[in-house]
Amino acid sequence: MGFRAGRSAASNGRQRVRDLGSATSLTLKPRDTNTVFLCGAATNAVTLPNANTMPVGWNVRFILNNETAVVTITGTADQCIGHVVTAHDNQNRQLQPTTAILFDKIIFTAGAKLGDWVDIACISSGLYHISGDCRVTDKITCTSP
Amino acid sequence: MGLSRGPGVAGSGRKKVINMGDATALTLSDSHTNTIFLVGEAALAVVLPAASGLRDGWNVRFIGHHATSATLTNTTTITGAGTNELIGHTATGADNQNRQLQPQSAGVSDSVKLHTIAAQGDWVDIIKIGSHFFVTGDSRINNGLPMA
Repeated sequence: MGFRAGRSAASNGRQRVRDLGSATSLTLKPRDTNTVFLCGAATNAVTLPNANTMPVGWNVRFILNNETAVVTITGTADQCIGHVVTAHDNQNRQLQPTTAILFDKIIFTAGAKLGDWVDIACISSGLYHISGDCRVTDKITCTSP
Repeated sequence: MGLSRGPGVAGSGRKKVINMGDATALTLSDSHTNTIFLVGEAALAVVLPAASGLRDGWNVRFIGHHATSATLTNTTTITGAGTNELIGHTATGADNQNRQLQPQSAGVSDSVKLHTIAAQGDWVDIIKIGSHFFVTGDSRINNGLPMA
C-alpha cells in the first residue's frame, strides 16, 4: 500500500472540518491541529490533553452546528487563559470567565446557538489560549472547578 | 544538498509561537506570517511591514501573556510602516459592561496597542488585505486595546 500523495489541508492553506455527529466522546490529539469540529448533535465529553504534551502552535476550533446537546471540553487544571464573549444583541458583554483567571473547562451549554464558537491554541508549555463568541448570555461557560 | 522535505509549521497545521520576553523592539517581515507573539513582559515597539510589500493573507496574532496583578506588565505598541494602514476595530469591555470599540469611530488607524491596562489572554489579530491591514481583537478591560 502506497503513501497518500495528496497535499494536506494545511499545506493547501485550508482547515480540516470534522462533524462530530452522534459521537459522545473525543480525546484530542496532536494530529487534530488545524481542525474545525462541528458539534452539538449529541452530548459529547471532549478531553483536552495536558498542554505539556501538546506541540506549541497546535490549534482547533469548535463550532456549534446543532443545538441539541451539551458539549463539554475538559482540560488539565488551570491551563487555559483568555475569555469567551457572550450576550444577546444590544446587551452588555458577559465574559466567561467573568474575571481573568486560569480555567480548565469550557462548556457549550443548553441554549447556545448555531454558529457559536470557541478557538483553542497551545501557546506555550502547559498553557492554552481560549477565545470565542456566543450570542446568548453565558451559554458558553469557562470554569475552574 | 537536497531540499528539505519536512513540512513547515504552517504545513503541519500549527502556528509558530514566539514569546517576546524582555525584547523591546520587533520589526515584522513576510516570514512572520502564521505566528502568535506572546507579549506584555517588556514595553515593546512592533513595526509592521509595509502593506504594499506583503501578500494578501499574511497574518499574525498578539496575545497578552505576561501579567502583573492580572494586567499586562508593559504595553506593546504595533505601528504600521506607513500611515492609515489599519482598518477594523477591537472590542473591549469588562464583564457585564457595554462594548467599548477602538477606534470609537470607523476609520483608518496607524497603531494598535495591547495596553498595560489589558488583561492576560486579551488578543489582537492582524491580517493583510489589499492595501490595508485588517485588525480585530478583544479585551476584557475597557479600552485595553486602543487604536489611534
